[in-house]
Amino acid sequence: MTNPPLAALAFAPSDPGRFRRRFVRDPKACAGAAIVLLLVAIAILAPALAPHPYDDTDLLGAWAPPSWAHWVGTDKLGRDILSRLLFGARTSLVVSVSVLGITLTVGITLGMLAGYLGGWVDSAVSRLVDIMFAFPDVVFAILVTAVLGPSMLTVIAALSMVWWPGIARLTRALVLVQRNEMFVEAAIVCGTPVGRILMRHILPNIVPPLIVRASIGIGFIIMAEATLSLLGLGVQEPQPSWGSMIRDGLEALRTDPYLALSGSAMLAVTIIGFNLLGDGLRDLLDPKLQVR
Amino acid sequence: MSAKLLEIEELSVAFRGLHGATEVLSRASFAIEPGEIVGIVGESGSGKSVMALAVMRLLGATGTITAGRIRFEERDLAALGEDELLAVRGRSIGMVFQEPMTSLNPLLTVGYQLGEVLSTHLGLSGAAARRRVVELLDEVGIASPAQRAAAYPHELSGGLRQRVMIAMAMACRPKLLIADEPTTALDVTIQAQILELMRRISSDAGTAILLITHDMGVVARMADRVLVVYAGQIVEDAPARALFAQPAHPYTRLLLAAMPTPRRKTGRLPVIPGTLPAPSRLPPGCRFHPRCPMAIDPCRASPPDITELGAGRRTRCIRGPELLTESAGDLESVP
Repeated sequence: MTNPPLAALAFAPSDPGRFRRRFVRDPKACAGAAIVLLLVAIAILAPALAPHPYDDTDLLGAWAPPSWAHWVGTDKLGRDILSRLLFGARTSLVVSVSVLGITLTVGITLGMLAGYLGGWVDSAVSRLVDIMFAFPDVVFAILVTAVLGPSMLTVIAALSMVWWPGIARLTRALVLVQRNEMFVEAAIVCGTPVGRILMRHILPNIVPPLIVRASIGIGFIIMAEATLSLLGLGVQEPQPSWGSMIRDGLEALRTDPYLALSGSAMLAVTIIGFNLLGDGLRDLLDPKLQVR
Repeated sequence: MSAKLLEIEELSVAFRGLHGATEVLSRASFAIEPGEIVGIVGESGSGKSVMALAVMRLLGATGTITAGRIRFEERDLAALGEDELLAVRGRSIGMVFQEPMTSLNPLLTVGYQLGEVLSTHLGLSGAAARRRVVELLDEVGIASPAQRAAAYPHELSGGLRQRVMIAMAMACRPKLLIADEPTTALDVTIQAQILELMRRISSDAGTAILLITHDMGVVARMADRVLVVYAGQIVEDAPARALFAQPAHPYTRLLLAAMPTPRRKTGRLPVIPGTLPAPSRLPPGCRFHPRCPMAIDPCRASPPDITELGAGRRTRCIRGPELLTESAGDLESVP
């Protein structure tokens, strides 16, 4: 584009200084950001933080309750649950964040083009989405992993392929609403190029519902990864993931609840953290909620 | 006669619907000279907005220009591609909409949106754009323009937003400003201010205005020339002064009679009986004859053509010349 960068334009809406000041004053956004940062730190520092190796088995000490040696107890093979939780953060965060990143990029791009351009672009994208929806998620994911072979990358690829159509369909519907707004018409009348109308006038207006969708999605993706692992198609033992730990723990929930409960607790904290951050961002991006 | 700025020839527009295409504008021809203010009046659904949208090529997916030419500065807008239209829209032709409340993006400051037009068409950015934005806001009569530029649309009143829209439409000093019911959503005192502003800008910058409205009062205030539209056809075209003094079409006359004036102290305003026919169910002959108090047999038989009356006037009524020769007193006798 030959036009000057928009950030250099007068009265650009994204003033980084003001955004930071408002961010630190928003308790929801701060709490969410703190939780997410903490989880990322755990994932990175897992080898240093874990009291035991995550794959150290001790069959005589299986299903041990919490003790000084094992703070959260041990699982069916006597492995330290706390260590596995810390290492599991790596799998779960990498998978969920990658899948979200890929599906949001693909889904939003295709959804916006379909919704705004209409015509054959819309038909092509919408039919593709319909086809993807026609397959049950797990069946399709099994198909993908059967072709690519089990690994973390396969899990990411498989989940991305079953997740993007939902995002695309939501985006398309949101764009259809925005396209009829007068300010879009006004932008067209001012001779604004299509790309800038999409990026500057439509995208920011459809971000809030997409943020909600994404923060809810984190939990679903972490559990979907567990389902694939159960079928032997995902992350392989002894590599831990929260989803597979919850699943293993459910078998022994009545007698030894620590595995399922601790795994669920980590999942819950993650979901709450991302939701708080998403909510906070959504409020910060809405100029009507800004107090000056 | 100076060269025409916009020349519309035999323009027809149709919308595709469930039951085939419906023609909503039939063979309209008119021209606008540089700096001229032309008012288009008509009832809701008469096709007046379609004219403006056709000039901007904003008819949407279902509307098409089925015939005719829109000549603007040597180019036929009806035949331009999307890319070429980008250079015309906002640059040579500006447009102001009816709804100032929803015509601005709620997530961007008004200064940014104004700056965007400057950057798109004039390549201005940074401090130069900022300075020009403040100048433009000042020009449309906004107090403390520098602060207002940093405001979001919801922080401004309807009148201020319409001023911003006018500033955006005028940012590139277009040759033509299309205003589609610019004051309908505003209250009366603001209406007068906005009209005054548009008139001042038009004379300062030499911009022609195509003013679309259903308010005869607005037209009387603003327009040099008036086009009256009925059921997709131009029925009368005359200089504003002449039209208000002596209309040459019964429809225009009834419209004027239905206008409240402070001098006339009668109780009820006259109404035009009947309703505007749907574009798919037009009567045979003259489209206005079922509602016309002056209709005679030939009106029912064949559709009248628009005819020149001299002195820059045209009418689509076979009894038009009669109307001009009748004295004002006789006119009052017709309901």
